[in-house]
Amino acid sequence: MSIAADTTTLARQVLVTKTAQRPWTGRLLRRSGSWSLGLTLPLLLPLAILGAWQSASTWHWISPQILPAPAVVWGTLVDLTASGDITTNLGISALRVLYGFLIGGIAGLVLGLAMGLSPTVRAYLYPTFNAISLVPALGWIPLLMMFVGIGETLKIIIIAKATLVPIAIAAVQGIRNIPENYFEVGSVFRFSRWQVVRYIVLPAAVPSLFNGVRQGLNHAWLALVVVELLASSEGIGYLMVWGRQLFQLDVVIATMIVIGAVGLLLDQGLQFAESRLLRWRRSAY
Amino acid sequence: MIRLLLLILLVQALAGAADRPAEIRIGFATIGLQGQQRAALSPISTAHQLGLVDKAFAADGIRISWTFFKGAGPAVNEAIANGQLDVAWQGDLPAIVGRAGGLRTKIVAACGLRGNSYLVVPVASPAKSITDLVGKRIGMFKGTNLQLSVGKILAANHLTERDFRSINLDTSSGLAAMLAGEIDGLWGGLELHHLTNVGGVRILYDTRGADPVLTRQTHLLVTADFASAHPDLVQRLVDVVVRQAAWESDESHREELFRLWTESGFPIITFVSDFAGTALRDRQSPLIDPFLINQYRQSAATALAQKLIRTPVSIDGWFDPTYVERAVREQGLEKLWTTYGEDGKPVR
Repeated sequence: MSIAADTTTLARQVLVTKTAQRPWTGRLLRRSGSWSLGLTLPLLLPLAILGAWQSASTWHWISPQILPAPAVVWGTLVDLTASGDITTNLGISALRVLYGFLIGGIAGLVLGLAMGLSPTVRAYLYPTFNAISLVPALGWIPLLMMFVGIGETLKIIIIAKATLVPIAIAAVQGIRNIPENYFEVGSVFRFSRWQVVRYIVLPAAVPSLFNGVRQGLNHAWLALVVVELLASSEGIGYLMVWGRQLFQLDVVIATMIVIGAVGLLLDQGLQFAESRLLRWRRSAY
Repeated sequence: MIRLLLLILLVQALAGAADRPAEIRIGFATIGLQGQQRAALSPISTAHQLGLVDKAFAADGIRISWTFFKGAGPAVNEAIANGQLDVAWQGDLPAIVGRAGGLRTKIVAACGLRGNSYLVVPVASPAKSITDLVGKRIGMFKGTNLQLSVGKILAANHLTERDFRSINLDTSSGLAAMLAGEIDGLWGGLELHHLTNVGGVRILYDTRGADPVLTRQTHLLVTADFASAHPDLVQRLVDVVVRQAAWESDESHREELFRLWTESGFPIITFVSDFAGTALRDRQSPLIDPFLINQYRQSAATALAQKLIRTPVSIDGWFDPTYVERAVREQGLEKLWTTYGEDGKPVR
């Protein structure tokens, strides 16, 4: 028993050292680099865009109905926040994304792992999965409506589908890209099937999986706008579509800013979670 | 000195030539059923179909460009704001929304009046009137001129939108939702006739034969810049529209007209049913009369009350009836169309 445990630990160490040989050093160095530079550089482009935007409205390059001045949009943003329009709609949208992302994420993970681990499952499902994943959400909506109606279920399914695809693909790719010699190490230590998954597949596939999860979240957030376009009277995407319908482009731009900001926050949050979860890799140094 | 004068003369000559545009850009706030570059219902769309406008300007070498916007009224507003259109055919609400947004336009002719609204329910629905649907889920494509018409219909029945669970759906999603039993009713325009033919739904209520103030109006508008730069061209365009409207107001053309409109993708029965019991001349009249102006005034007030616009819109000075009046006079059509008062009753 203790021998088995020892071999497991040993195998883990071997694998950790192996997987850790990827270019983590560079990233670490960059992270510890100048904070001020790290905070300034990403702001340059938005500031330049803001400058161009302000100039465009000051000198009337673009009709103010199409591109309202930054101050007008800021005023709208403040108004919409004060009236609760933004917070209420954002809350509704966030809940939709959360459910859709959780369901799609788990399903995508299971499906991706199954297709990645079992050539049989892959042979059965992968071509169909690929074909289905390439059909845009808009095409599914009328059909889905017949089965699940136009309520929240429809929206969550569409968001879940958008999440599922990149996660499943990332899982399949992540597993297929694990070098063959990792598995050889596993067979040397006579790993059981479960141990192979637990100590070889999962750790080696995690970076790719995280990429998939981040992409999945991006897609979920994008799908939100599509589902809120139809059969909805609330949500941040709806607010945007409605603003366009009513020729209130300041509302459209205000919601664009909110959607972009939330998307950025989500992505940063995941990045943070990733670096926390993958800390064990760094402990190899 | 002489050279300078010559130069000034040359510049003026060039400016005079540039004064005449190479093309007139006309936009439609609609598109054919399957994306055809065809519309129905308005004299300007039939004139487009028959090539009458192009012909009227061909002698001067002025090209006419036609654009059909799938995004309907809101897309037309964006195109006008971007300076991509000179002339547009649009419904009342989008134009009011555009005016609220600061678009400078002139309405120069009525172009398709008294558009009907319909409320359809599943065939098996026990409902006998709108009131029976109170508290039920009703689909409607919001932000279109349908919403204003529905608002007026509900008000006439002592109801408001809040008496229903109102769901924003376009027509095709609405049909799917209704067949799936997800909604109990669907508001729409004459396109719903098409659905009753497909089966599964029946018309519960419609505005045919009802008070005309409940119907929807559409118009031809030009940008204020275009109108002030080229009043002669606007007049020529309105001349064509008025001549076509007169042709369309002739009952002996009813079937031929409907058959022309089927190019938009709608079966002829759609138009036959929608126009049943209505005189063509009341719907194809180009006149800017007190009825039309008051309809827009009412619509602007309703739009503000329903928070579709954020600032009040003044209707004054928006309509310019002089072009139509001149065309009617010159074409000797004074007796053809009835002028209606604010209440929709004939004034003479």
